[in-house]
Amino acid sequence: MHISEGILTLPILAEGGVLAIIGTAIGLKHIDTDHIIETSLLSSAFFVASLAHIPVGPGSVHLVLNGLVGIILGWASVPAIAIALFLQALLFGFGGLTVLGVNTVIMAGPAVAVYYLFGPMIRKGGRSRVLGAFCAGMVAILLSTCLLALALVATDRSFLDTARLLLGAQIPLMLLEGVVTMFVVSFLARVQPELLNFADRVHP
Amino acid sequence: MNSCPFLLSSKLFFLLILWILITSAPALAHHLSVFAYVSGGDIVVQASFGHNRPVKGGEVSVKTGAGKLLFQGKTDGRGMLRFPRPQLPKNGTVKITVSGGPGHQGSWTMTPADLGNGMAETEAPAERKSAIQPASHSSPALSEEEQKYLSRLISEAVAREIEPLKAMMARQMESGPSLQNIIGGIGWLVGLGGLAAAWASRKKQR
Repeated sequence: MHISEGILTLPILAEGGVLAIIGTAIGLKHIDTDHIIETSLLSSAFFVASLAHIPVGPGSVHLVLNGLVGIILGWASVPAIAIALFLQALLFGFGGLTVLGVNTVIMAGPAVAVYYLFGPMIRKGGRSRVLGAFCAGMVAILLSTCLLALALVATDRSFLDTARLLLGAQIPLMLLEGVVTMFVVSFLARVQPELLNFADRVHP
Repeated sequence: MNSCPFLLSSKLFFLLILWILITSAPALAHHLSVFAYVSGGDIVVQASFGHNRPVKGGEVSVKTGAGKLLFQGKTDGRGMLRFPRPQLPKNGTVKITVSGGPGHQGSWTMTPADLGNGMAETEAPAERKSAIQPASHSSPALSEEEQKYLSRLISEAVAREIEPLKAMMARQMESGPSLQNIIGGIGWLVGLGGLAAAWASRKKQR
């Protein structure tokens, strides 16, 4: 999911940077003082998730968990993901500092989207919670992949080629993220249900 | 149960970390690292995604410092590509870029010293001869033919000895994120959260 340095053109890098800064500013306003710790913990979870490799076919995929971060944090997931990506670029060399904005948009944009799309379903409880959580995990990766393909359009291949290539590789990851998000949400619903409402409670 | 809201999420979080440390030990993510070295008359390129995960069939392009394309090719199943060393001016550099599928790219620049430009094969024997001659006064005299033969033997033997070292360097270059970095990153995130919380609570008290 991380785009490396030196691939994208300057206009896309600039657009990504501006969008990421706006998103981060909105997100920071949404962080209630009581939930700073949860935000930083979910940011850490996102930070380490990229290291979890699951062998799929000939290659392997790594978890992203942006769906999970999104449904719990809502807009606050933008700063959470941006900081985690910054540290990943600095410490692991994933992505890079110039592409930080674009990578933030690719991963945090879908996080906010699934919060609005599936948040109400998850708060309803019961079977719709399980389904909503699965869809949130899956759709977040789907949207991220589409954004990734869109960002890469300006490089060498056409959008459709790139998207087809990426989507094929990401289908196992979508299912996996769906399942992981489903289990984590079911677990949280049992042990700490207020966490699933927290983005709502902050700004009713 | 809800009196301490972050206790349970932190428990969950540490379970996640534990699971990740167990599952991910050898294979780590998507940083494409490239390393190249001169071996004999060839340049060897090695590309990997970290710990023993070679970039198979990655597109390699080799350019001069000025951006002129010198060579194009694909890596093999071990993430390696070997191509003849191009003729370059003394201070010429070479930039090797490897692309490993959409969004993944890494590069490595070889300096004149890496390329050994100063010791182009054609000049070498003459230079070496003049360097050896003073010392050879004391040793049994060698004919010019023998000296040439000897210097070729020596450079071959040294190349053979050094090759594994270069390959070892290449492996070192491709190491993925270390445990220190992972723990350090988590520390930063939790620390920043703590700092923000402390700052917020101080603002509240006022």
